[in-house]
Amino acid sequence: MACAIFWIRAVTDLVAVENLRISFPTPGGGRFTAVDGLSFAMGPEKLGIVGESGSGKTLTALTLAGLAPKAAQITADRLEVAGQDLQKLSARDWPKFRGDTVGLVMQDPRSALNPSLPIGRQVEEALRFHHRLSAKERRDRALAALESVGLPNPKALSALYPHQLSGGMGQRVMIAAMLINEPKLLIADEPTSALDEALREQVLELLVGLVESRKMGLILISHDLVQVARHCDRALVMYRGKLVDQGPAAALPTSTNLYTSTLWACRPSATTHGHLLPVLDRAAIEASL
Amino acid sequence: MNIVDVAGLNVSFRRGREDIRVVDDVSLTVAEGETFGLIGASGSGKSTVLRVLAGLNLEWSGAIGLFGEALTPRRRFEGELRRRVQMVFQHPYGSLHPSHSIRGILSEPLIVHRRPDVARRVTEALAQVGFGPEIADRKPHQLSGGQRQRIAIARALLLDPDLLLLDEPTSALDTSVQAEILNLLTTIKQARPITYILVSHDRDVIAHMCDRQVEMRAGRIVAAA
Repeated sequence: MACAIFWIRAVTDLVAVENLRISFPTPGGGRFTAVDGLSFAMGPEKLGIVGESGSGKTLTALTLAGLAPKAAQITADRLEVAGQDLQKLSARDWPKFRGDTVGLVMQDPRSALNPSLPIGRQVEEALRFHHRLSAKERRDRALAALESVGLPNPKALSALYPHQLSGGMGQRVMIAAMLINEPKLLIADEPTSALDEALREQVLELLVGLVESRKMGLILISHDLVQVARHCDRALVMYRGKLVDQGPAAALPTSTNLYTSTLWACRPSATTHGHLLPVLDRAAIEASL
Repeated sequence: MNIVDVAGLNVSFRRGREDIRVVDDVSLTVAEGETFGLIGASGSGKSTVLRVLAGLNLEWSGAIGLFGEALTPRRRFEGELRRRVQMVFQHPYGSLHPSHSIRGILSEPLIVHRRPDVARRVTEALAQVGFGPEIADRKPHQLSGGQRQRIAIARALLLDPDLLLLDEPTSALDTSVQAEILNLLTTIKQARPITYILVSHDRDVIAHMCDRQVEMRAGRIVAAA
């Protein structure tokens, strides 16, 4: 099999990133640095990356999955997933690496799934690419995967098209397709923010449960600090491409970092009724960088 | 005094041969100066209720009173009503004309309503939402989501409305930017007499902002608080 092209070393870290820098050319001829000297490492644990839009968290996730935009210039002293140096992967190697080693769940299942294929076929597609199986084996494994994400009556469901599913069901299908090849690392980019509130907890618990039972690593990208504090082991906090705070996810509410503590406190609730909410003092945050 | 009085409101959309009822026997009242919340999941009909009150959806049945005047189905809003009711939409990018400058966007309602001193009023409206006059030359795509939403709020306030309809005004924004917009709405209300109807799927936003709220599910009001 083609997997011999990957020389897997002894894996201490599932992900090792040192001094990651991602920049884009700007129309004026300059460069915009979207991720600026990011370093982190993780094992088979649940790591949350939080920050506002534009903080570089999604771009970091896409880079780890080899899906950063072509215009992005990426440099790093070290950029490894499961012992593989990502900077040495060619465009031909990536499709195999993705799926086998890294899975990516995107924000909106409606745009991530192919609208013109029944969902059963889309879950099978992942298998077709990575394994040599008979049609029957493929179908059975796809049905089992759909069942494992809590979808009722997978047989009937697999004939449906994405537009016939609700957002929550669509996201479950995405998760089934990503986990079917049992990757070592799952990256979930705002996996619940396109869903209604009531569904968010359900889908996230499912995701976390599946990741734990398979002893995989999870990178959960989210703007929702409560979600990360509840479901992750550790958290990284990014602001304008820089890592500004990190620690145990459960300690997010008590962080002394100005940015983290304001992000936590600026959420509205019944107890803030009638009061103004704390807002980010961006000048002070910039000065502390 | 109730400035909104809705009794037995029904709205149906036709799909193929069947009528799908998206708002089913909804009754509610909103008092002057109140912040009233309409909470519900997507598809619950909450935005449709708001669009009826904004005069954007004219196909309805039931009884609606706005500022003590009865509305008639299928009749467009006319005269003062078009000034007194304004709306802020969820996606500020879709609700601001992409090729008009901020100045053009803010001048338009003033010109339509034949107000004098357009330039001065535009500058004042920008100041009210925390912008200097220099931003007037920019176009919507040059602004962030939160900045665009502030422009949308400035535009809605230009004609001194009595009722502001807010359709998920912060759900496309970061929590940190949401806090800025919610604070803006709070301070605006402290400075002038205005009534808000806020539609959101987010219980925390509703709890923070609203004096009173009802919940909608599948077109019906299921709970009041």
